[in-house]
Amino acid sequence: MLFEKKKQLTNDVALTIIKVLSFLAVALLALIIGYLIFRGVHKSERTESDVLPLSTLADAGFESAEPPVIVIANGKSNIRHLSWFTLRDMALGKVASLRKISSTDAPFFLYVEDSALEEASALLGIESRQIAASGAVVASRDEILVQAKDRKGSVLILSRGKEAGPADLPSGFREPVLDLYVLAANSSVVQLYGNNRVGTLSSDDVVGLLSGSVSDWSLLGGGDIPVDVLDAQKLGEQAAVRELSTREGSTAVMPASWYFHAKQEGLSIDLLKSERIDSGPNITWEYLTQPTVESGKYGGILSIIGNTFVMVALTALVAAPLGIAAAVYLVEYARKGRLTSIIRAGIDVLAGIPSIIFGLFGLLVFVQMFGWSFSLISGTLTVALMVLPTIIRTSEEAIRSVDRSLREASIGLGATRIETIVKVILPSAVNGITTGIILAIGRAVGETVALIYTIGSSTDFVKNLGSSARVLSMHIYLTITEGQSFDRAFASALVLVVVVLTINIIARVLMTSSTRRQRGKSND
Amino acid sequence: MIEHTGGHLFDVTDLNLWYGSVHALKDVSLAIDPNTVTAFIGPSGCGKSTFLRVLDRMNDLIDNVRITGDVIFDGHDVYRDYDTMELRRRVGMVFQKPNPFPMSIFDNVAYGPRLHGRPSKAELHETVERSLSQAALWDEVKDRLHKSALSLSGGQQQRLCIARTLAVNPDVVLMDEPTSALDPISTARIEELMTELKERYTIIVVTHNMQQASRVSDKTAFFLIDDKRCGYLVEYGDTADLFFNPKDKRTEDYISGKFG
Repeated sequence: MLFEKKKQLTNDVALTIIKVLSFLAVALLALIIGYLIFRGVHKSERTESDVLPLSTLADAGFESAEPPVIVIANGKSNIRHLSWFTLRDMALGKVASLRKISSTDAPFFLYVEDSALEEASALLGIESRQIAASGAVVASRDEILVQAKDRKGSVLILSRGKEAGPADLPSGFREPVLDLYVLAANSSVVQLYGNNRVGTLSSDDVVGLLSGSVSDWSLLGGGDIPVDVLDAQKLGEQAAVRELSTREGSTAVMPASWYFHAKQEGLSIDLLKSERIDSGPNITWEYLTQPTVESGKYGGILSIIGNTFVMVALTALVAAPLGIAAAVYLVEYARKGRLTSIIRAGIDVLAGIPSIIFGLFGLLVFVQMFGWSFSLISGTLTVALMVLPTIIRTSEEAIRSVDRSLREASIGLGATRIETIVKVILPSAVNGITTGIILAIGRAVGETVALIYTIGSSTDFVKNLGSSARVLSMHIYLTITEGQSFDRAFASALVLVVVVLTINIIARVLMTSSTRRQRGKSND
Repeated sequence: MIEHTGGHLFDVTDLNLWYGSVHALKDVSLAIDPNTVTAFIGPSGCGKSTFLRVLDRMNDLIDNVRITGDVIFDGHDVYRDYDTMELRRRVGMVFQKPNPFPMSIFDNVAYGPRLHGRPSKAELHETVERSLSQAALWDEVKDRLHKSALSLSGGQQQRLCIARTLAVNPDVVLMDEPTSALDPISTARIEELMTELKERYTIIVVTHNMQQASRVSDKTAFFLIDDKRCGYLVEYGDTADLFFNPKDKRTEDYISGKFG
């Protein structure tokens, strides 16, 4: 009786442990997928900015003066905010396209309302004739609104009339946030102390500084100097700049133009970079359909998706015939013996070799010995060799499982061996073989390590076998290692996961349909 | 069809067969007449299926098979004079388990003719219809020739396999326990079919079912296995004689159910 109870208890405990562990495993997997999807869909990117984001200023209770001009942009431009430095570059004709400013790419055009020309040049610290010379269109408000309406990449500087405000934004346009203030500091603040210096300041850091709760620069990673916050607005430009350049440890929020002037005069003032959190949708239609710019820092991934498909198709094209032929040989022709078992063991070993080894092989043989350099052909062949064992093994299994009596029936009708293979065995094994190829493709799509040394990293769409081609997995790796953007890496990762998932679903459907067919056969 | 001037269609003398070092058939000699049904009976493992497979060289598919003795088919030696493809066209085979190819009914029957030439569409249709009719399947499948052969019932599948064999115009049809996987009704249809087919073909059938042998065959060969697990021919003769007036004691014992 007691023994029975003990057994029951052991059973219950074991069951509970198994339940908990399996739940844990599922929860972990769900967490990973969920996080991946979340990061892929939603971006919350920390970027470094020279200017202080308006939201940070508001958090710190700093009252910024209304800008002397209104800046609006075409509604399709997706420009969310403009810094004083960008605006100045625009006015000087140094900006040619939107790619670095917004998620969309288009040629850039600047329009300045004639009555706003003086204020704009004063704000940006340049002469009005420089603006006109930069290629900007200077005309009446009505005229520039008409012209800018059809140009996606247009930015307009309008005068702030007495009655005008954000309320009467013309339709088809948007008003980006203008960041015109910087956090300037005495040069002593940003110097290197040992291995440390004041880094990029978060919104909280700035609030702390301005409110006085951060009293020493060492708290922000700098030297052991007390913080001295100046009220630049009260002091006025001349006095503020003078104080800032002479008082050790001093800092102040000031219009970017003041800082710029002071810098031009060679005063020892520096700028403290602050962090901007850019949140919003991550993976967008633009991201999927635009070419890549500057190694993935800007633009989309269209060409990279294209390259991925080309690479995978070529891999299948190379690996499938080789693999199927090898499988046919192993099942149908090879005699059982030492050589065959060595070949088979070799295939299994190849299947287990880490892909970095294949990458090294590709580098030494295809890239260097054959002189194909980093190219589509080198990468494709490397990956094809890598997935070959998978294809051979699955095809072998599929061919072996074809009913022996089908072979005999075909031979018995006077067919040769090769006729039997082509007309009966391969068609019967087609589902299993396809499954193997699809699994191999799934592996090829996600392969990174074997490609690092072989396929190159050009973000252009491949032109021929010899051109360097970046694929999705490589793109993710490079976006992260080159420090471009984690959010963009996650967006690419989501695309890659969707591709792999699709391939797996196709494989699964094929597998079930083939087993259903076989079951149907035995039911008859 | 071949013209025979009284001779035997198959003439086997002193056949011995080894799988590697295992002696599987010992000193088998028998002759088979055209347009008859010959049955091979005997207990499991007695080598009757192996012997059947000697006649169309199906044992060639297995490694390490060695054969001695003479197997003469239609005046020529099977192992020396024939091209295997030609031999297997003339000596067709129906297997134990129905094994249609995973393709349409039409393509199954057309498989053989397509191997041995480039028949026109009309010729092919004619051959398929003839073969299916001879196999007593035409009426059942004529409306769904392009459906998968795997959709047929087991008995229909086996008749389809017979039609597939007949489509290449063989002289002999070897049947290796053709009804062992079928229900009694399908079995009866196949047996009927054998009797009809012997008008045009020579049929050799391996069977476990002695009633079947006595029902359908003209001649019967009885195989046994010795203590070294080697098969040999005990008695061969007219079915009526063998069943009702066996010469050998072992035949009598087997037929009366004393062993086997």
